[in-house]
Amino acid sequence: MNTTLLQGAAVNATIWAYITYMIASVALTVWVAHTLHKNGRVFLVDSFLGNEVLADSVNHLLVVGFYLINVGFVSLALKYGVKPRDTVEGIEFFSTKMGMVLLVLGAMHFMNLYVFAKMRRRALLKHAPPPVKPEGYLAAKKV
Amino acid sequence: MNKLTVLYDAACGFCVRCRWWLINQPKYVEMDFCPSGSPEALERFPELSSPGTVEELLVVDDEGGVYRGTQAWLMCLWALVEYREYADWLSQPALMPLARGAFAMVSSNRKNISGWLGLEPETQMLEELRQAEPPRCAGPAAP
Repeated sequence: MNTTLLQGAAVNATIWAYITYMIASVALTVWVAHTLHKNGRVFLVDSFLGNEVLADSVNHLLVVGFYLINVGFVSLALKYGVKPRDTVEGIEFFSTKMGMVLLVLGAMHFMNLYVFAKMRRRALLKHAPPPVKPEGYLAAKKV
Repeated sequence: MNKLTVLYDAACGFCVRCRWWLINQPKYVEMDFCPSGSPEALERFPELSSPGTVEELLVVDDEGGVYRGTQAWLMCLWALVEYREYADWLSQPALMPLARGAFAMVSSNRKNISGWLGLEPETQMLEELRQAEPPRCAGPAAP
């Protein structure tokens, strides 16, 4: 009887830990995706030289990719590690898993920023002016 | 700016090799090559050429702007897709002395460099082939 109660309590702790973890992870993923979507738009519009339609399209596609990878990772990572049997283990489980998810989100975030910056730099390079001024000019324009 | 004309030293094997390399590089700006001091150069750019004198490197843009030496080299880099970043970087005031030094060192030693790398200008190769004895036939094939 005692064992069943303990087992029941353990399952409860596990379920609560899992639920809290999923909700917090997905909420954080949504928040980071929203930040990137909103603030990354400026970078993309600049990279595509004012073409807002193209920038919005690429932005949306990047966000979809971001969600796929992150929600996928969060879902997979749920099961691995020690199953929490009581509240203390539940808190530890939550903090470890959240720490992992946050680090992955952070890495994705910086990778996104790097990709945005590189696209912008490449686009600007194409229209860069000459690096030096001519020493002089020909009297008659000849090609 | 859509086109650059590069006047180079056609008597230097290393310069001729560089010209071939430039021809094969992906470019933002079209490049046209003309041996310095040649009849073509005298006809197209009379005020820049005098028969007998060969400038190490001269670039003329399609607005009549003339670039010499290090500036000419930087303009060549700027025209190339993969090297435009280097042109922008080297042309910064802090790095121009380095660019000048590098160009001066290579340019004043170009004959030696051609020797070390075994590079000959095409005119010299042509002359050698003309003077060389053709290999003799061994005779009719044995039956």
